[in-house]
Amino acid sequence: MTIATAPYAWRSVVPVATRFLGASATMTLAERVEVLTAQRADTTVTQAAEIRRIERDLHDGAQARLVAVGLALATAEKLMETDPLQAKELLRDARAGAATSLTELRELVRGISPPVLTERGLADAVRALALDSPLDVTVEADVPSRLDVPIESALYFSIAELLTNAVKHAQATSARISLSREGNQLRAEVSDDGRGGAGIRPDGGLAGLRRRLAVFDGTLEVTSPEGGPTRVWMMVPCESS
Amino acid sequence: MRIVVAEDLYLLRDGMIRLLQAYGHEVVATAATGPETVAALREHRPDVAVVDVRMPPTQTDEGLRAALEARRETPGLPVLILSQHVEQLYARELLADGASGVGYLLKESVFEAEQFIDALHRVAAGGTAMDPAVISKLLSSGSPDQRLAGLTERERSVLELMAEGLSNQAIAGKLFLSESAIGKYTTSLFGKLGITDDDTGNRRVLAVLRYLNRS
Repeated sequence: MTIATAPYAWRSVVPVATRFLGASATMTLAERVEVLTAQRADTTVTQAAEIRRIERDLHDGAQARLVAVGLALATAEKLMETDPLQAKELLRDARAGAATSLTELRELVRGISPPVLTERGLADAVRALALDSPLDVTVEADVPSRLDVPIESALYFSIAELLTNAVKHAQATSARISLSREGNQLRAEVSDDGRGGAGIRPDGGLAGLRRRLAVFDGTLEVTSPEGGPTRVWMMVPCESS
Repeated sequence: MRIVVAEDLYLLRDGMIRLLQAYGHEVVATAATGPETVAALREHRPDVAVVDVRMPPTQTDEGLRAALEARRETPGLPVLILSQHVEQLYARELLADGASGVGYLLKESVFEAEQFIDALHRVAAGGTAMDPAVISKLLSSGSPDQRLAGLTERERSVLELMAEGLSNQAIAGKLFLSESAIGKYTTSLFGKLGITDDDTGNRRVLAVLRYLNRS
């Protein structure tokens, strides 16, 4: 049984915009500009850190392994006639190296952009997530089949993190996810039957999710009394299509 | 065997054709898009098709949908889906019709060429070849099943290998046990799961997969 680890997009980075969580309707233009500037700074810092991590993972992982595969193949070619036994062994190593690189790359890709999201869109990607969760998860989805790619991705990773929280922190046994459209807003709700007590703390995971969604003028709210249940809902504006 | 290969990337299509030919099989047609795949399957009725999931024109799950469509038209048309990633969601869709001759493996399963060719033969013969990761997820997903929880560790590994599509003989080989021992385990695990053991071979595997695929 595996619990999804935090994908690149969600690993914590020191926030610049902590003071400005969420946009309010009563903001003046100047305040709004200040919020957006801070959010942009957050996004830039986060993205740079993500890209740096991806580079390091590729450099030390798949790239290094493929060099080793090439080396093994070159040596095997040389030894083919003089020492076929060792050549065969090298070929086996090369094959194993290629397989391991693929596994690493697959994990990396999943953290950047899960293939099922590309292939099927948000609703099915969330269903796939639900199937892979150790919890008993029910999914209700009534949303357009394709949304804007950044919004799809942000909601997917938010829901993934909330499910992980339900397992790790709330010790829930079941969860419920609903995706719906309310006017020109998309609403995603995740609730679980765990022990509750979750809150939005400045450097906590939920605040991170909130900052992520704020980039799209999205919001996140939580109710989580001690003893549960926890209910988190997110609203993101979406163009009617 | 007469085989259709549906893969949009030239490099992989070419490699697959060479591998299949090296094992003495004939590639009767290739396809590089979803619609081409459906057309090739209709026209050539191959012994088995090897189909990639992601293909043009949409670069989404064209291949999978083509395979599902072809199998709706011709139930049991043998298809082996190969993909860079495996999803329980897709496995469940492939198994949903309960028809035989279906496989779903990671692309790197071709690295074990003999096993891969075995899997292809199995699917062509109406059997199944499911990725071990998918099977173990099917076994562990959702609410814990009381009946699955009642299996011994040994029965569980026999069930996993059976669900991947292996014969009793192959399972015996993998677990270093005799075939008759495997027979005893299957009888007892079927009893625990409430699956009738009067089916043989592929039908029995399908019964297991149906059991795991219930939601």
